[in-house]
Amino acid sequence: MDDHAPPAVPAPRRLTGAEHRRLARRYRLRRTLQAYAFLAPNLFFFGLFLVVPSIWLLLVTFQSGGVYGEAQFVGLDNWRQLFVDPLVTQTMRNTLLLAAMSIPALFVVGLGLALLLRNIGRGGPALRAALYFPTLTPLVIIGSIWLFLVHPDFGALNLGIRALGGDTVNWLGDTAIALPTIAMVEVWRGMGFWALFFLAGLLALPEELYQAAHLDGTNAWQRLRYLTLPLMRPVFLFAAIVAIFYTLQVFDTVFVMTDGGPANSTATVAWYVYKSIYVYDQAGFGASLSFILLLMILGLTLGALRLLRSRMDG
Amino acid sequence: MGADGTMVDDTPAIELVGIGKRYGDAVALEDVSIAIAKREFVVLLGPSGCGKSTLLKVIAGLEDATDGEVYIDGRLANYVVPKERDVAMVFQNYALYPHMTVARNIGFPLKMTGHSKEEVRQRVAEMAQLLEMETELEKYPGTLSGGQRQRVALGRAIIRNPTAFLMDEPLSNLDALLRTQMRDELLKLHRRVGRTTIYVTHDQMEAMTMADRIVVLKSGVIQQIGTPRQVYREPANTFVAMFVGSPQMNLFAGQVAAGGAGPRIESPVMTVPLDGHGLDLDVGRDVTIGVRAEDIVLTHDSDADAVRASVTLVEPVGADVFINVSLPGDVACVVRVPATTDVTEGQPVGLHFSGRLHVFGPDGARLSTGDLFVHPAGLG
Amino acid sequence: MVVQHEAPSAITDAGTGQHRRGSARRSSRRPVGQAGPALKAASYVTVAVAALATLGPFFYILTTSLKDSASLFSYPPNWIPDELFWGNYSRLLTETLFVRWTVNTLIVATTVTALKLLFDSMAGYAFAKIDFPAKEPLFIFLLLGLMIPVSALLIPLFFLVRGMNLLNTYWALILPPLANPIGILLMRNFIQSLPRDLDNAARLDGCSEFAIYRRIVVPLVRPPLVVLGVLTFMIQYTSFIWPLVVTSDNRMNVLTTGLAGQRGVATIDWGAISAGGIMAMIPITIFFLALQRFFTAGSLMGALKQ
Ligand SMILES: Nc1ncnc2c1ncn2[C@@H]1O[C@H](COP(=O)(O)OP(=O)(O)OP(=O)(O)O)[C@@H](O)[C@H]1O
Ligand SMILES: [Mg+2]
Repeated sequence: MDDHAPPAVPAPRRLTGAEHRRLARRYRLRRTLQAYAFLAPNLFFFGLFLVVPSIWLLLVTFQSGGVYGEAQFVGLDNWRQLFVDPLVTQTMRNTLLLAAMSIPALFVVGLGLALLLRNIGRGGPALRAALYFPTLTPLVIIGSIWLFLVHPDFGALNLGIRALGGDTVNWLGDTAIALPTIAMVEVWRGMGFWALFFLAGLLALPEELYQAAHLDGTNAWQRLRYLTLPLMRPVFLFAAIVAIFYTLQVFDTVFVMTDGGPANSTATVAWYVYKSIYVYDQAGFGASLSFILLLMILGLTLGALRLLRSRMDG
Repeated sequence: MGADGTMVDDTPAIELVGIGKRYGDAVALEDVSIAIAKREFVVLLGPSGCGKSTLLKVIAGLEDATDGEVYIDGRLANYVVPKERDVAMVFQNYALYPHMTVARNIGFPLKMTGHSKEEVRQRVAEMAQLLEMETELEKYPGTLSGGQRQRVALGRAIIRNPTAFLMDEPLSNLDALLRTQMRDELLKLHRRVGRTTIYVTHDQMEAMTMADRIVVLKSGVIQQIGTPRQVYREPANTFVAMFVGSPQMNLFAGQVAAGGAGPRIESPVMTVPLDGHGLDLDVGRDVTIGVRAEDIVLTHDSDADAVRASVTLVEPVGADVFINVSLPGDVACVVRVPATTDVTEGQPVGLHFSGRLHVFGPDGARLSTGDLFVHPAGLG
Repeated sequence: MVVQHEAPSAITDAGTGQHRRGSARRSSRRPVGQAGPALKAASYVTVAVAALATLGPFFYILTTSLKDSASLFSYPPNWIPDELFWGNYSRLLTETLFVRWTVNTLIVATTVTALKLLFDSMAGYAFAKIDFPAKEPLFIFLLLGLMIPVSALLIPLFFLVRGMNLLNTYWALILPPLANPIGILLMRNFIQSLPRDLDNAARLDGCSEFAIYRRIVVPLVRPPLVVLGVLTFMIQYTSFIWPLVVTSDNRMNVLTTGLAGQRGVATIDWGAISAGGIMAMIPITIFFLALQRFFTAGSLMGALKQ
């Protein structure tokens, strides 16, 4: 076999470094172009409908008008107005209150249902689908349904209360109750989604740990408190971010059910942004308000991240 | 090659010139140069992480070399896309397409190179016959056994007629029996198809039995290129000596000393006179003596010329027994004897170093190999 | 949005990339059996009550949609109408553009879904399997886009679309939603989890990059494609504020904006609204039931893990 073995040390290199560099550049360029061809559609839309509007948003904050008439440069007027318009603080307060009421409720109800769903074998898929159903429903329709349910005179809720002999509630007409009513609708709509979300997280937990804990003679509450909840933290973290991101933008329910009323008690930031386009023709002001919304979302998201992270380390 | 005077195309099928590959700061390959002839079966041998797969991928164009040149059939291939390099590869983990049947897996390279449906079907049928896979053609890879997947991966590679086959540990996932069986089938196939093959393994038995030449790699650097016989009998350095062969070669530290009858190597275990071996070593130099387990003869401990040792472990490995012994100076070594030899652990024995001896310099490189006469330490 | 934990999967394991044909449905591996019979019964009862609470209102508007306006407000209410009244439905179909809105919704949701699946899987492939300069920074840049809520960009987007003369067109409804990068993340993570040697093998077997994408990658990432498709479709089907901003022509309304516009200023036609709600739920319900096994947040979450 040695007979066809060529010399062990082959000829030296045949191309110069410069030639190699030139050829390599051409070779890599071709690959880069291929990659960008795959990315092109996404980059195009991303640039046009996300990057451009993001920059434009900043420019718009220095203008007034523009929806029906000509836009005018107004300097910092819109920003100044943010601080004097009492509705700005009110919508921010409402938005945060809505989040503070609905997100914890969603988490408690969602996690509770998820823990119960874990015990359910037969009929589980049907029950899960039923819980999930409101998530499929456009909020406009949900708003209409609930508008009907909470009607002060012939809504199902008050009919029920009256049948039980209680005092009827003016669900959407009372400034103190309207926002909690909206929160209730949000919880009703979202609980199935979060139940399935948390269930997914629960099912992914390592079962051996539970078997071990079982053998150690722990009770169900201890297992929940010292095993499940800590293990679920990453899931809660992700859920918190998504829920904050979503809840701070609440618009549809408010728009359909109360249009911000009564007396702006349910006006949210997103609702005010929308109003400032069409109703008030104050796109510039709305844009500044959008910045506030952006900052609120970023701030709360980062806050949630930090909070849950530090607890995880601690 | 061309020894009989006929015209033979002696362009190497694959030629690597100073190939280097870095991942960031980590060096995966360094100055790898080799020319591989047509029809040659070359085995890349080396420990895990030494760069074997990386070298194959550089040849195939799946990784860009950071340095050096790759020639395939005499043409510079560095800047040729993989599909135009005309090599076929069997991947370490088969890489079968899970969503295609066996038939479509095997026929895929032909389909992609524009062969007619009819031709693909026919060649797949031929291939299935060769691989004895006719009955599995409509199955999906997920339902096949390891050996069957192996054959599909092979089929997908050899259905083409590439300049070279690159096979990356194609047998590593098989059990011992299947492994030997597939090894023989692969060799038969190579004899029949006769295509240049670069075969990666870190199993040195596979390397010894299959290769025309073995390339031993360590940390991305070629240690030795040679026939299995050369690599085994004349290891280029202590790494190759240790890596190739089972059990490992016994190594003893020693030092060159002047003696009455000329220079000699002295170690706690033995004394090796150097007269007449052309080895010109400075007195006081550190060297390593290597002896294969089968080049040591076991005798009774009463033998005055023998090195005294005591048996620490007896390992039967079929026809032979590996006997671990401990020697004076807290040195251990392994002796290979026929299974019929009667020894027990703890028994005192004598050793004769009468066979081939290798001498390695302080940098590990081999200085000499030969039949040297050895005295027990302190004698001579 | 980098989540570090194992892929959970609630209803199915659609996300885990089962590649083999015809074995998509797997038995679920829930730790049942640990719960005692009492706990189990209590669980059933509680969940059933919750399910009643979610479905009850739908039943309520179903009955409402089948009553005429006279019996609508009768007291005590009759929960199940003695006689089915179809007038609300016929009124909705004849006096509004309900059919047109439904068609618009389906056109928009289907187109957005199809385009997103195509574009996101292509981008995911490039990020997962091709080396090119500035890959990582570009990817991170795209992900930053996830942090920007659409409602914050409403105003400049409106100006942009108006400037392009696209108000009241399908383009205005279809194109801007394509700018959401969540699908790229999802597809990249999945494609990255395919063994590197798979595309390498295809590369040696004579495939161009596009052929690898089309013949190897796309067939293998069908599960996440379904997840992404279902979510995209659902989001488009229920989307409201953006269509509200860019459509003023009733013929260009989608279901959500069309139905919202039906609410008169002084009086509310409860019957028609209920009928509209019920009918609007029909397509999405069919869609949901057909693809139910993929329809979980869990499978999305599994897809997003890194
Ligand atoms: N993509 C990569 N990025 C960084 N380092 C890499 C990469 N691929 C390989 N390496 C490194 O290069 C070296 C050689 O790897 P390679 O896969 O070629 O080893 P190998 O000889 O095939 O090992 P094995 O026998 O385990 O398959 C290793 O140290 C590995 O860690
Ligand atoms: Mg390898």
